[in-house]
Amino acid sequence: MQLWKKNFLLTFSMFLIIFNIGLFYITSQFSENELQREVETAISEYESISYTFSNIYKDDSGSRLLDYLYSQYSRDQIYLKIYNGNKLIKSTLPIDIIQDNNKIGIEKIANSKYICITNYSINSPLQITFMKDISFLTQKQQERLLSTLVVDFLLSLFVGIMLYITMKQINKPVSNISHELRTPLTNIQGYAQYLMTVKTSEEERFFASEYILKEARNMQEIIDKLLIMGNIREGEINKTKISLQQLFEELAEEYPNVRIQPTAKNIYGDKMLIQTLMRNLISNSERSGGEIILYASESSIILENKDDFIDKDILKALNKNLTVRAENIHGYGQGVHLCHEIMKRHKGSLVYESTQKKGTKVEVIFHPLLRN
Amino acid sequence: MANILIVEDEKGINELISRTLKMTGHNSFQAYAGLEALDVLNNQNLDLVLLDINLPDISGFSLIERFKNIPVICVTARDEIKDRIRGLSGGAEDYIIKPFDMEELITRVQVVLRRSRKEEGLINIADVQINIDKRIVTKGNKEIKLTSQEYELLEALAINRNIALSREKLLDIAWGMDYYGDFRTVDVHIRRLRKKLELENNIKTVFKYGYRLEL
Repeated sequence: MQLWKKNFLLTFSMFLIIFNIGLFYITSQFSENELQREVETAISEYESISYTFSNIYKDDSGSRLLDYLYSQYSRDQIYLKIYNGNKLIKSTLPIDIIQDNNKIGIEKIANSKYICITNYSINSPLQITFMKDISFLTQKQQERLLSTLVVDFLLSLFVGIMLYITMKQINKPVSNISHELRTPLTNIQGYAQYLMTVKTSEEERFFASEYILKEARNMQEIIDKLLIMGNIREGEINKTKISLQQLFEELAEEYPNVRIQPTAKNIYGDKMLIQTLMRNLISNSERSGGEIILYASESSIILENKDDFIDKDILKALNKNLTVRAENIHGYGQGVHLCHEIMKRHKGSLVYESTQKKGTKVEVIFHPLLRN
Repeated sequence: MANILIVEDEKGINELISRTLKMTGHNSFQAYAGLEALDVLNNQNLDLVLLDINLPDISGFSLIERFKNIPVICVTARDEIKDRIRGLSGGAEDYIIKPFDMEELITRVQVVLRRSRKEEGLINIADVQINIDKRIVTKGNKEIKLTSQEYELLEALAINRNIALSREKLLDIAWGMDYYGDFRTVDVHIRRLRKKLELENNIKTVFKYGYRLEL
């Protein structure tokens, strides 16, 4: 299994375990609190009932008022059993229970759940057993559990998919680049071995060494870009004032095809990165031949090449910073991607325009705060 | 001597394989894309195809089916197991992963050619003939008795003709991987081989490396 898949499975299962434990802990805490509250309510109800009945019983035993109260309480799913000494006065309990004094208990009887309280004092002549149906609570808890499960499932699914996509994306450039490094490496290894083992003529020696050199340079280029890419993705960029005139002159010296127009403008940016960016753009443009004109506008550096024409599909990919398949272009397709990354770090952008008539124009647009 | 088609879009690797195969006495044809390969297939009598899977136009996997009766060895940078399985179950005889060793490539080519009987089991060096199937060496129609190690050395050098083999490699070939011998053992046996077959001019010492049989 690939490493990133392992990482994904590990991270995701950790997430599932922690998330589920947390969620069910909260749910069960919630239910327990609810029950606690219900018990407290029941105790206060018991107390008020006990008080009421003691008073009524004292002055008016067996009256209609009592019957009315019984039926009223039963409607609220509160059931009572009242003794006077050893004599049973009235019982509305659905199922008879015998409970010790000073007890609060939760009884499960035939699919229903009850809170049972027996708590009479010696001062009171009545012994009251109180029973309250709380089955609705169980039902509510079950409903809550079900909805928690649904939410849990959906959320886990969502997080899983997001995590998978993110991890895959992180892995993708690595696998691309390892493939890109492998080709020059095969060449170098092969040609070095060829030189070592085959009886070579002068021509063959030159041919093989040339290949080794070329491929080594290729690798150098790829590695440089990788390093820069790593730096600009992670590290802070180091902004200094760059004189465009000076930058242009340096580039014109390095690339004989470049003609520059004088400018007095400055920009703020990482000099090394801006140089890399310009070198990339120029060497891409150079491949088509033709003269490259380099000048500064109000907000950007502009690179024009009348002889360069970029196909519509590739142009779109370049502007959107999509990967261009290496077969369709020269090089390894990392250059422009790197330029976009550099401009992103400078909060600017890179725009390609190309028509058959006018050739190609690349505009490197800088953020207003980074120019003067 | 076999006709081998190399289908590989990377020019450097294609050229390298082609040159190496020519050194070892094979005929090679070079194609840089799938359609080009099919073109060669129609016009030439091929014995073996070395096929890269990542081609600019057609997938190498779909090409394998087109080379019906010709053995195919996949040469590719794809090292995922599912690709290997796909290549081998699709009809490829062998699978080599980049970056690879040239000796490995030559050996595998030889094995596949022998297996498909495209390569006759006879190799001629000057007036010496090696019969690989029977493991018999003759010089001017007279059989020469060789020890098992001497024979293994000769066969390896003959298959990799014009390419130097290191002493280490030769030791592995003739005495097996487990043998912890001195490299001088190889020198002694090579000296005897030269003498017995009078190949002093053909078996050359390569400085600091090993031996090469030149033709």
